[in-house]
Amino acid sequence: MKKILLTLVIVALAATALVGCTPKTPVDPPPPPPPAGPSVGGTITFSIGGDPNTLNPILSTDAMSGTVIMQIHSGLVRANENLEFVGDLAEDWTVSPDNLTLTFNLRDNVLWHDGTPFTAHDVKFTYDTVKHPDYTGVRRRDFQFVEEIIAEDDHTLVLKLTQPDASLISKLGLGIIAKHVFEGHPVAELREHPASRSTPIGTGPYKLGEWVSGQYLVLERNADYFWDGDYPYLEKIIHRVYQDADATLAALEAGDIDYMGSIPVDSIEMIKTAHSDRLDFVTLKQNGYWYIGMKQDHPYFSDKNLRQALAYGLDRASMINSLFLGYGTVMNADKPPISWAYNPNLFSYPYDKVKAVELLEAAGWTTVGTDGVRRNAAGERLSFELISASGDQTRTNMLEIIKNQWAEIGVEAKIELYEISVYYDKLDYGEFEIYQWGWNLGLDPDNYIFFHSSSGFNEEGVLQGFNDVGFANAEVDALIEKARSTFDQEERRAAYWEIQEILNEELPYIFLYSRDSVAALKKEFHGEFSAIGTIFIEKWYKK
Amino acid sequence: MSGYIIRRFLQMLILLVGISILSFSIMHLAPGNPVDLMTDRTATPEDKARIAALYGFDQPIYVQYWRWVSQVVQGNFGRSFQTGQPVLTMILERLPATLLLNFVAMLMVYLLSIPIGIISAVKQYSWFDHVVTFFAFLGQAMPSFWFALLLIYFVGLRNPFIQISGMSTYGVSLSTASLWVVFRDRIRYMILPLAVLGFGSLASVTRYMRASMLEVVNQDYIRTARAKGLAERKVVLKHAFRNALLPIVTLIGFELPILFSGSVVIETIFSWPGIGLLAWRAVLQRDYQVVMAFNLLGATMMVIGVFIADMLYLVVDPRIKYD
Amino acid sequence: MERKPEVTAVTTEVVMPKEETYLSMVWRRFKRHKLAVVSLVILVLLYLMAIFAPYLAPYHYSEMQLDKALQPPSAEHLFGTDRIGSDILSRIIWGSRISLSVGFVAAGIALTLGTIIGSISGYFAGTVIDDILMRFTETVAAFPVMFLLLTVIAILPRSTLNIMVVIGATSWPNLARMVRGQFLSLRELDYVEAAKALGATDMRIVFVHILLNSMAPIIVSATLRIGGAILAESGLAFLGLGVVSPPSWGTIINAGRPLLRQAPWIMGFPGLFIFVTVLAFNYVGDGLRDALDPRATR
Repeated sequence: MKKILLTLVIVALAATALVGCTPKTPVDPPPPPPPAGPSVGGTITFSIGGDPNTLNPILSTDAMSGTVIMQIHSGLVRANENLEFVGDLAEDWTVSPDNLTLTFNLRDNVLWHDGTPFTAHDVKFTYDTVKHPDYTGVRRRDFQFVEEIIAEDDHTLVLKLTQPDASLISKLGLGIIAKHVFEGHPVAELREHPASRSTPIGTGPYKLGEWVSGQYLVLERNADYFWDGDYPYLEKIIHRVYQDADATLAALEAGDIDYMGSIPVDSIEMIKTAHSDRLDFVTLKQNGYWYIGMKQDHPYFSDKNLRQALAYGLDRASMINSLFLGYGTVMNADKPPISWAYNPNLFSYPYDKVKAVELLEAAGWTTVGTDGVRRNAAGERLSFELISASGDQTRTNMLEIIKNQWAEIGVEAKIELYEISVYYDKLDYGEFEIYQWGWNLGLDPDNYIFFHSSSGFNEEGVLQGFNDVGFANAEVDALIEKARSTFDQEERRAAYWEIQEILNEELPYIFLYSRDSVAALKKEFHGEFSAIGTIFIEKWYKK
Repeated sequence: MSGYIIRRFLQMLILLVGISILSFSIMHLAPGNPVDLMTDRTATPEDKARIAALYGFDQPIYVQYWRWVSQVVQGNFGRSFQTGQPVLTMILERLPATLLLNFVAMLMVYLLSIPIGIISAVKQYSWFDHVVTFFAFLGQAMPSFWFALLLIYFVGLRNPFIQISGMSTYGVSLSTASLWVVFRDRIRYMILPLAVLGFGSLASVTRYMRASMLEVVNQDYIRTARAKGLAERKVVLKHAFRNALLPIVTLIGFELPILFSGSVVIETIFSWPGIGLLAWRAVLQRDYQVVMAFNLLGATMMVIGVFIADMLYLVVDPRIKYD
Repeated sequence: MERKPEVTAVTTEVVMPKEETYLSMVWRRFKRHKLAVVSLVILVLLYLMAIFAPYLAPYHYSEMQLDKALQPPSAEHLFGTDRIGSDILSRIIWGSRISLSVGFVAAGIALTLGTIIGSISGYFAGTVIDDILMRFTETVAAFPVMFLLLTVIAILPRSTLNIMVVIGATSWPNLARMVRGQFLSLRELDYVEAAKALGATDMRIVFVHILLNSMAPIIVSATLRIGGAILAESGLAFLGLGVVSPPSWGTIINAGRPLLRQAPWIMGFPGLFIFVTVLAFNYVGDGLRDALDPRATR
């Protein structure tokens, strides 16, 4: 009884916590006094997990680089508060009737940080570099259907496609680099160019000021920023380096930083209680999800009954409540709720051990050995190796819970953790039975790379995309291709809803959850947010 | 004598070749290369293979080694795979932080441990000696990271003056503030890492000093000096101390590499922006060039340190034979 | 990152009385070192705890009670619980198996490597063999040890055996030098000369006479090395490179680090165990040094 009561209390607490901080986007400045309008000035201090690897947008892969690059560079488009793509360097664009030609009308008032005017030739140069054979970054696939890039005049850019690709627009948020800076430099050594690091030239709201390795980066206001108005408002942005979340949290409490993007779950209540007088809190959703991937041609996991049994055998809601104190959402297919393609009508696989056992028996795992592990007619034990990467305590805790819950239905999961590069190798070469991992997604719902059969292993055993579980479903293949070939959102939505229903039934993955995070911003600042993170840094201001 | 020096020098060169081979093979024989670590698996295997070829990771290992070593000989440690910066620049950027912390710690340790060690030895088995010995044992057995966490919990989180992360406040520098303000600011950040770093080596240097002093005090010539009726103070300071200091002098040779290498554990805990932190991140990212350079430089420092220690010994101790 | 020459001021003298009387003399002298005796008792208890872990631990190390997460120490959970409601005391008891065996085996590996390389080098002192072995020893010794460990462990698959081997394989150079030193000082001694004159073979001279007489400092050094290896393992584990299941003590601390403020007991207790264990090994080593060194008087 005591146990039940406690659980109830915890659940209730978690529930109130959730209700108490429904995402408000963007954070409205609190009601007056006195109604301070935005004005130029002030310095904001962010925390950053380490030095960015590069400040060249087309080479960046790490989050640290991404954050800073977004403030220095601009792309043709960017996402707004509703996660829709709107023009940034492009004023607007048109799509030809056959969906094979995209024409971008570029702004004519844009200057690079060094004063040179920005033109369509810079865009062409950037995209050509990505498609260059010596390019050492990872964006090439984004432009795989772009056959030709034409700068028709200084302010008109045309992309000719080999086949329609609706996801392309979302890829064009990629920061543009300056042709006059990089031209003539060998593409293979782009990373070594000083403008890729110490002297970046962008068109964004901020310029790089000082950078002290391992300590901080200072960005200074670009007074010539092209958006009309006084943008950007903040005079200076400082990114201070903190090694881990604990150090960042201590800095937030001490007031050394003004914003923290993700407060560790176990400290949220404490911070809210102690600092709500000077901090505003925003709940941000994850544009992604965590899952367990099962090799589809594995002798055990090829049976849908087993896959479904494993899903019934996991109490995902209680995982979210105990591990993340309620900050998360159970997932049942591959689109998180913030996506416009999200299908809310999926089956939820409630925690049901009886149903799980029924399905296990239907799959032939009928007897239970003295060790508590199920066996089939051939006497094989229902035991397998569940792999993941080492180095994250939350992940380790989650795996322990999974292992324990499956043990209750007679399934033995032996957990093996590998160093992350070794782990990636195992996934890339298909050397696993079942693994646990997560995806952070792009804003476009295209999932060709994850679930299309041609993204799996080819005849030589080389993984073509990220379909490492080897999911192959002709219906899904057709739907993915169809959704990609039209720019009509309603048509696409219908296709993605259908895909989600199939994934929900077939379960190539056991979809676990997507996490929420709580961000804190000092009350004297006004911030701009979408449902998943900060946006429009030029519109932030000090009250 | 010059023969001895030349021989030692040649040995040192052979050692450096061995070290370069070891540094190189540890990184390159291991599974996984930097291309695997394109964060969040943004690179597909096809991309990875292409990029790996561009960086020459697909060539035979001896070719890669030769390319690397012939650059290193010219003082070029290559460029970081992750940042594109010259490795030497990256290391030099971080060196001052590590040097500062380790130098202050070393200074503190020697200033404290030499007198403590001497008193402890001269008054062997006194209560002072027992307390010192006890604390020296504690210091050697205490896991440094645990000590650091205890300090953060009991001191850092309770005392607003003390900072637990980083090494300076942005904007507080000599161009904007007075020397005193800057000094005070740096102290806030340094106090905890210094305490952790200092406690461990204080323990070992004190024990070392004590042992060395005991050795000397029991020697015949000291007994003779005492027997001649020299004042105890004079005996200790003039005769015993000087000779007991010999081994300590050679310790300085061993300290050289420690000064430059930084401590991964301490720098991670306190976000101290030194070399250790740089190297640790490089290991995690498989940034070959940085890790190899760090190992090579660290080991070279060590070898030079030992060489210097030997030479110092040669100078200070006339009893050493060299053939 | 410690790299000081060792404080083993033991000079061995040739003691060849009957085994039994020698041992009893050692024991008699060891007993005088009170702290060493207490430490020995503590170590015996710790090892018994590791052996009988399944019977002593109130819970299984991976048993979790999600509704009892982050409980402070209480009668039910003496050392409190962690993030998923596992009992810290039970994890420490199970973890002692990892931490203590890593220390023992790693020190054993270092001892074996160090003795073999040191004695061969010492016996052939002045020859090419000696030169090669010593350059090799110096090469390994020259590396920043902790960093070398980190690099190798970060890369290798995480297993207890790998961790033991790597710690052992990086901590032998000092031992090898010491053994070599012993050989150099002992091989000129009269009884070795005598043995040679009597026609003893090379191997016999090496292993029977000299090695036996170098035992004292080797044993002392190996004892201290166990403590060192336990510290090294915990340092690796603290950086997230430790054994997870069952968790070594360092791994438990690593898990408690982000919860330092909410649940200091998670990192506090295992740290105390490491600390006491290493301290005990050091005291026992100290006691052995006094006991084995006939010159020391107290």
